[in-house]
Amino acid sequence: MAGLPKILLVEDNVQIADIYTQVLSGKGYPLKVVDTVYKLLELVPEYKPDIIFLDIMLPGDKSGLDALKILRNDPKYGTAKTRIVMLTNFGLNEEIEKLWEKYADGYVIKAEIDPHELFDIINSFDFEKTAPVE
Amino acid sequence: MWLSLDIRTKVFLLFSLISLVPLLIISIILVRSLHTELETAAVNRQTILAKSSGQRFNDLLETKINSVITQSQDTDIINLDGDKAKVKLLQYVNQDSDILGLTLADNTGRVKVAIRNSQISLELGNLRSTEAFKVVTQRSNEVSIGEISYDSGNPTMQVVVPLISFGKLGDKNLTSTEAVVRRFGSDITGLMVVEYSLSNIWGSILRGAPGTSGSSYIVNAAGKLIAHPDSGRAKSNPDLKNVGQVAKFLDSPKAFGVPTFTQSPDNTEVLSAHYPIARTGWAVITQEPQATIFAPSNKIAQLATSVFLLATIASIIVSLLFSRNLTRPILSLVAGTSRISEGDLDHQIQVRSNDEIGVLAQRFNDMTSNLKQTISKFRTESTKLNIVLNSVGEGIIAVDNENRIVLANMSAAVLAGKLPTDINGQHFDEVFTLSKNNEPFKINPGSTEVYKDVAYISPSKRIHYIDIFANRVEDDPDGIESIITMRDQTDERDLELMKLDFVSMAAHELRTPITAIRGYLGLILEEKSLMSEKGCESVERAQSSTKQLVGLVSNLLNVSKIENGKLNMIFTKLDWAKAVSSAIGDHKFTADENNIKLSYDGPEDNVWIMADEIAIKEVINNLIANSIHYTAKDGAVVVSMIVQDNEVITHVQDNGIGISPYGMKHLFTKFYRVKGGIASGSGGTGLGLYISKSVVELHNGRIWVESEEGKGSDFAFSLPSYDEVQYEKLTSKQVTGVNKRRGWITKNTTR
Repeated sequence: MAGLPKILLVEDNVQIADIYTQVLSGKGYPLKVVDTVYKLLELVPEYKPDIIFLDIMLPGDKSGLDALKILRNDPKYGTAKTRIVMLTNFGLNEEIEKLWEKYADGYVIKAEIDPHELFDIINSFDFEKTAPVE
Repeated sequence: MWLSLDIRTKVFLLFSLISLVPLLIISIILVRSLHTELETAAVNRQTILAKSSGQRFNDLLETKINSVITQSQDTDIINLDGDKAKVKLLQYVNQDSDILGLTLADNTGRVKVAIRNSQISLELGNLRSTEAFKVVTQRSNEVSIGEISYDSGNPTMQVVVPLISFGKLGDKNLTSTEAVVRRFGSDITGLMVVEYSLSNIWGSILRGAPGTSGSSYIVNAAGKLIAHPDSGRAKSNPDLKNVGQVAKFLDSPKAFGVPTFTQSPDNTEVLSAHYPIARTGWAVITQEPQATIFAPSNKIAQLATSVFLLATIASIIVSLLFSRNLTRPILSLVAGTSRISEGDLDHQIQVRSNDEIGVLAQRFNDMTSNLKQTISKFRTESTKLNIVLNSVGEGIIAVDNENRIVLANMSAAVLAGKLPTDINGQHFDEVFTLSKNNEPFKINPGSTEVYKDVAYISPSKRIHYIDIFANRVEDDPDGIESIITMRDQTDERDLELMKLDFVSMAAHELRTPITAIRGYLGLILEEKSLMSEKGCESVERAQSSTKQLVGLVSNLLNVSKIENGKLNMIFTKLDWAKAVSSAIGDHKFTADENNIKLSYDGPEDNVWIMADEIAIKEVINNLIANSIHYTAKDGAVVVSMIVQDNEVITHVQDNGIGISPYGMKHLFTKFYRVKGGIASGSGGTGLGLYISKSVVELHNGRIWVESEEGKGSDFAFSLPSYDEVQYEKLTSKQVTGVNKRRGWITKNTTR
């Protein structure tokens, strides 16, 4: 991977999507935003993101957790090794906890972080080449 | 023995003792003395009788023999002068009616004269071959007396006398008849045989004394019967040597047999005596039946027996009457007390007498009415207790040592879905099938214990969550082992869950707009250069408030996690001294703002613990914030740290408003807030201490407080010191390479 990691944000809340976009794009991270699981699954094979920020509560019949399972279990998406960080404002419940521990690489309570902490989260992953932040 | 008898028997025995026994003794003495007297008289009588009979018989016999001897000494007879002898002998025979016959023979046995039935018999024979002739041949020179014969039907006796010539004797000194017969055989000229009928003699001897029932018999020297009142018996000469008195006679044939009690030839009990007859060696035996002798005393004994029997019957009747009279009131008392003991407390015992028993009955009646009052009081109390028991919302059950239900109130029965009477006697574990954390669960009623959140599925398939309080009862006389109280918490729990769900939903809903606000404020603050200083300050304040709001929501969610047991800690090795020092720094600004002196007294670093860094930092932050919050201006807050016995104790002391005793009790429960304090700070939800307590306990620590109202508070908590073994254990399940901050976690593992 060369340069900054490619980020895919899956978030249906327009304001939050807007804030995260401003923050990440402001630092030059390649970023795409979708608001449903279908759009996510459509985009992933061609976009090949390094990190997916995946909201749990999403409109439609599939939640972020469903998407997580699909991305990990279906090889056609090529996302077996992609870093996936769950976004939520729920407290952890048993189901969520089990699934993220098994399939995801991180977990974020959106209300609990300041926008720039996204960089700390990204940097906590040991990419071959991590972009210098701030 | 005496004690176990009933009164009737005792009275009877007493009556017998004083009336029947003396009667019996007197009767026995009387009968016995009479008996002795009768015996003496009978013995005397028998002595006289035996002697007189024997002597008379002896005399008669001697008379007969002497008369024969005298006759035989007649010259004409000695000389066997036929005609003269015939005349003289006929005359002699006719003089004695007892003589049946007479035979005179010479020394060759030739019969010279024979007289039969007072007539001269012409039939002459020879006596040579007869027994009588021995007198001549054996020259015994003695009178011979033959055996008694019954040949003619009557008893006959043969007297044989030798005929001795006087002329050749030459001894004139011998005059007596005894001397005459002792001569030599050469002088014997012949013999005279006289046959006597003994009927008359027998009759006079055997007849016995008139007016007595006595009898006599005669035996010969061999002990054979020769004479008996019943001549038929004597005829066959039965051998009587085994008969008592005969045997005695045979033992000493010459002695007089004094009267003794023995057996008669007829095998009856008799008093018997005998008199020996010297010449013939016979004995006259007299006897008198015992029955006759003792007839008077036996009669008196019979009479006495009859009197005794009558007296006994009379005694029984009298004692029965007496004892009935005596026991009637007692029996009525017994019957009355039985009815009372069966529960009839209205029963009055009726005893009319005024004696001790009457008094006793009256006392009993008094006692019964007292008892009735007491029981009615108890019943009232019991009813009250039942009403209270059944109106209590908690299920209350008493069990015995086998865990069987002895008593159950209405609430318990409702819980079991049955009537209280239906579960009585049943096994507690069978009525209430319990489980805890999906595992079958049984309470131990033998010990006092509290069991929380026990699940119970009722017959209507509803899951109840109940708190059970088993209270062991010591030494209950009714065998109650334990009182089990069951508080159905299902409704409270449902409500609690609804509350938590609501809080959880509300928090989530709140978080979305807060995230946006916080995000935008963050973005604004990245462009500080574009804003005025005042505007910048306002935005910073807005951001601070937003963070506070975030903390509040997050605490609400934490409560929900604690309630569900889902608050998880991620343990790492942490320098607690460093963490606390840094926390002091974080609060310095607020403290200074309120003019409160915040200081730290403890090591600066190198105090290692195992902790969830974020959670435990929240605890110390919360305590410091609280202390500042409840301390007035110019106050002081001191944070200190002591390391001791494998644990680290952290104190947060202040000289603020303190906590009331009531507050102390509820301090660590959720949503409780100490009243007063400055209206600012982050601890305003009343959740801080509740969450802190849970977090400390999840670290295996303790949290406590000492406080006095108006003087200040001292909050303290302990945490275990770092321990490698313990740490391995705590972190073994954790994934390594974890980054955790407030609000986010990532795992840096290679997929």
